[in-house]
Amino acid sequence: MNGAAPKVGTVQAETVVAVATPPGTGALAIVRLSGPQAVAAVAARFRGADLRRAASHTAHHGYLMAGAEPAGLEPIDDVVVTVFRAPRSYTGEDCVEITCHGNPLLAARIVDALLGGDPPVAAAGPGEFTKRAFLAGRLDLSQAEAVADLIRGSADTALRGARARLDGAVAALVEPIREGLLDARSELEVELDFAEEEGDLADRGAARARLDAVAELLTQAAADPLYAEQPYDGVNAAIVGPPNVGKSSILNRLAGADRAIVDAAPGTTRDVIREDLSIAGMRVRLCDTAGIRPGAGGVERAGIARTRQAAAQADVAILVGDARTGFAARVRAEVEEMIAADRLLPVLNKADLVDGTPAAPPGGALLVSARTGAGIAELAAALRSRAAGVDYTEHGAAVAGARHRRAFRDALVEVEAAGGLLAAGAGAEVIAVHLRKATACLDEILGVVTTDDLLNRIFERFCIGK
Amino acid sequence: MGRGGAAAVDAADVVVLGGGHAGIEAASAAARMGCRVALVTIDPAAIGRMSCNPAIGGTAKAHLVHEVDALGGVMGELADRTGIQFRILNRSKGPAVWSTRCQSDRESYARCAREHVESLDGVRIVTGTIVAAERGAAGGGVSAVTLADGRRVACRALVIASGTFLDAVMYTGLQPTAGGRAGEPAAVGLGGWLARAGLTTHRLKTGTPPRIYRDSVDLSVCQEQAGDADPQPFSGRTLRAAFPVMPQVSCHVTHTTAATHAALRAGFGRSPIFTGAIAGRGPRYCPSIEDKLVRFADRDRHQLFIEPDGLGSDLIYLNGFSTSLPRDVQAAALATIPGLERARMARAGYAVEYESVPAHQLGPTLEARAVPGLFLAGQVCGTSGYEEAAALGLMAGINAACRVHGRPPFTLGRSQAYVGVMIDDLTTREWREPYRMFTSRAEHRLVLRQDNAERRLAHHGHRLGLVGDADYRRAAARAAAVRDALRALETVRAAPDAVRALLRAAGAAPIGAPAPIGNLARRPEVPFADLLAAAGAAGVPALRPLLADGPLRAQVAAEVRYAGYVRRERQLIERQAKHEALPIPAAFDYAAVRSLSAEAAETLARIRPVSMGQASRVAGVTPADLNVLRVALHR
Repeated sequence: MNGAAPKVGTVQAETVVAVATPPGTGALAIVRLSGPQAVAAVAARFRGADLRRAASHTAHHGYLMAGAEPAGLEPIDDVVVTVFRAPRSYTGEDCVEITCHGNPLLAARIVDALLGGDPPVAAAGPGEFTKRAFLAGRLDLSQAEAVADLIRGSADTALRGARARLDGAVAALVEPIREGLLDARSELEVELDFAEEEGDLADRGAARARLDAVAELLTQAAADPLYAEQPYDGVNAAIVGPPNVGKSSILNRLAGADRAIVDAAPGTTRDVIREDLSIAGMRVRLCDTAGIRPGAGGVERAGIARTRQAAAQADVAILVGDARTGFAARVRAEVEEMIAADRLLPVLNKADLVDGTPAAPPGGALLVSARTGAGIAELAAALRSRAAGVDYTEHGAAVAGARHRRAFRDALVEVEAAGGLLAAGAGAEVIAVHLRKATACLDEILGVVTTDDLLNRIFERFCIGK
Repeated sequence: MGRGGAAAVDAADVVVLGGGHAGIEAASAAARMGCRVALVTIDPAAIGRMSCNPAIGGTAKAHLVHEVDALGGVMGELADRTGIQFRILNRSKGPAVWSTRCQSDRESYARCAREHVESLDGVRIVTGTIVAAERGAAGGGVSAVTLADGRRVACRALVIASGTFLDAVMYTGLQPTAGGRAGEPAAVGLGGWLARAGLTTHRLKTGTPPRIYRDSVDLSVCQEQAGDADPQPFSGRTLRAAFPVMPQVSCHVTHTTAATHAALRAGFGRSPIFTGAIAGRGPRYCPSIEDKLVRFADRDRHQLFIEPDGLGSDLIYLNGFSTSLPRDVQAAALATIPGLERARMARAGYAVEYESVPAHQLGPTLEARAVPGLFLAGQVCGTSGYEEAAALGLMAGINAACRVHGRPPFTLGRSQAYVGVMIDDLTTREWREPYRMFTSRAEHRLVLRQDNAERRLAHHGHRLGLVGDADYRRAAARAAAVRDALRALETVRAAPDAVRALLRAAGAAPIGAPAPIGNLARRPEVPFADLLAAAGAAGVPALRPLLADGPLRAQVAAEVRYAGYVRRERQLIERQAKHEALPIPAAFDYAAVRSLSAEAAETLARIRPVSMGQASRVAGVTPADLNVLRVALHR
């Protein structure tokens, strides 16, 4: 079946790109490319010296351009491009480093422009540059285990983001498309493998309608608001806990401004509120969330669903409880269902309301008071040390979003080709080539490789076999 | 194991267990590669006997037959000599899925197969069953086999091709009968040895329909299905001038009725499948009639094919009516089918449940990892179908001979042959139902066609010693004719006037200046044969043969039609080749790779892929696992 296509991420000939600088707030950010087309890909979007003729280890000032002819190119930023020729580079391949201003949105736009350019460039997989460096013999052999761990670790982090998306929005986008593709393929292919079955198996009209529907879904998916949100490459932190324990007050304390609506009535924060902070040089996006309360209804329940999503995407979650009562078991259980225990930072607020000297809280929770500011500095330090363990250099929401959009666009090209061939009366075996490729594009988003899906579908839907 | 037992009464290089489609190919290939072969069978008279339908080929299976033939196997020639109806299925579709199917004269097929085996230098037929094998010291390779009556045959390789016979039980209704095929005993004892040797087994099931007396069937109310007017043989070695060899006959089509379904349902309480008497998994693509009723309850009829069992046979084969319901239920149901109202059964349909050795325990040469020198082929390692069995038997026989001679093993990749797709599928995944070939399993379907099997594979067959010099010269000449024609199509131009009428008739745009004939041939609406004639192919030496030779023309047309796709596919294959081929050592310790997920490490250790390409197809192994593995291998 289709699937025996090799899984992605292991073919070396591709040229890849990613933001290479860590998420700390800095004056400059670096976008790195590696692979045989690295120089050509940047040259095509660079207004300045002809990079194709640039010698190794030379730096060039100019403008990085977005957009496409003939609509016109427009500059994203003025940048310094450094060219490293194989094998004298970090990865042993041709490498280019683009140094731009330290705004993560600029870096993300540059990555996006390169992903959509010609020659084609792919988003780097987790640990990809390091892996390439290792495979090219540029790293010490004793680092092998460390490299493997890095790949595993960053893959897990990336997977966590992917899974958070999958739990909700992305799966909802991708699954109907995948199903539609499978149905269309089974409608066309059943006639190829079961030639002797009764006449009306293959239904080209149905396949056509299904492909039109799939094309529409793909167009919508590529433009889904899910991906319109500006990508963020800092540390994602969420504040979670039951209502009225002072989550928003803690956010305000950390942010130093009255950002969230704070009200004593439980359930005031119904939407997820985001605040971008710089804590000791670490860029942190802090999300305040609706309180978790069993039996919530209406608008509040919708808010809690968003909380769930924010928590699942967070690298660190601050679980807030009331210092007077501790953590309610039910709330804690619900939170641990959303987020792994090792990503939880338990905090007991309202220390100032505890009579006398509070006892040391259980489970290593921090004791703070949003009202007086006591313990907030310790919380910031803990947040930073937790966040420092997260590796952001070669993955992240920006790359994932760009990769998804690209996959949808690639799949759409294949589906449209298939639709055109179907209309022209081409053979199912040729149409299937395109549908197989479209499915493979989507499999890259979901990270699954499914080989038997098509035959399973045929066996389910058609009475075949003599 | 060890070296105990009586002195060998006999010695061979390769012992082949089983005389079915797999055993025949294995014995034939090993013998032609210079091995002394002992073919062990319960009943020499049963060599080449078709257990199920009297037919060879069909979708995707025909691709296998053509590949077996190109490599020097015998199934294609046997089918050509004994076929009583030939049809190319899917002819209205693209050439990549054209598939030849033939009805065989059951008796003649078995006789020709037996005569072929008997004619081979170096093959001796041994009557008996094997109950155990012996191995050289310290976990060494197979060194001898022991038969049930105590005889020993010393050998250096063993090919088990026991079909459905291993610890087999047949069912008609709830009554079990030991046996691997109606009237024939099961092979008992070897299953225990396989388990002791470290191989796991599981139960699979298959079924067959009732055999019915031809004179009790009224074909006049059934729809006739004739063969092709211009039957084409499977084998490149079959003399076209003398083909077809046997007289050609028709099949007939009828269907079940509501009354049939009611009669069958009345017997469900005595079904060995539905009552759980049979636990083994059957193939979903070849369901019993009772399965079809349950799974597609909304269908009010199912198509049935009445196939002749042979020219001289008094039986017909009711294709589509495989069943293990009790005999009285089968009889009652048959009486409700148009044309079969008075049908008399010569033998009731039955299911057979048998022991199978899942093929993920085999390497790409079909050799068991746990026992060097032990090869498995055919239904016993989890396939179904004569053609699948023949292809596996051929590959097992070739590699057994390679082992004996100390030659490097012979394998085919997924981009080279359906045989390669099948073996890769079988050995990299854990299958729970019998495996059948489908064209959709081949990701390079447009490249792997039955028409180009000879061009893809004949040089391998020749190099291995399975295709003789004269046959290979003829195959090479045919390949050269295709190449020359393709080149000429790109250089010889058609004049606008010469093709104007043709293009207009086809509804295609006219040309204003002379254009290469190939450019016009790529337009799907333009009939290729007419185009060649109109464009003056008769005056071009490289194109002239295309006018008279239909199969040659079809090959060239397929190449032209798929040219763009084939080119892209070949680039993809080349790009993947390096990654695909990166070897993983046989003794690789997955558990020692700290960063590999526990699930992946466990699965990979069980399946033991031989290359990164194979590892990427193992279920449950993620791209991250592959990257980790890549790094670990590099160390």
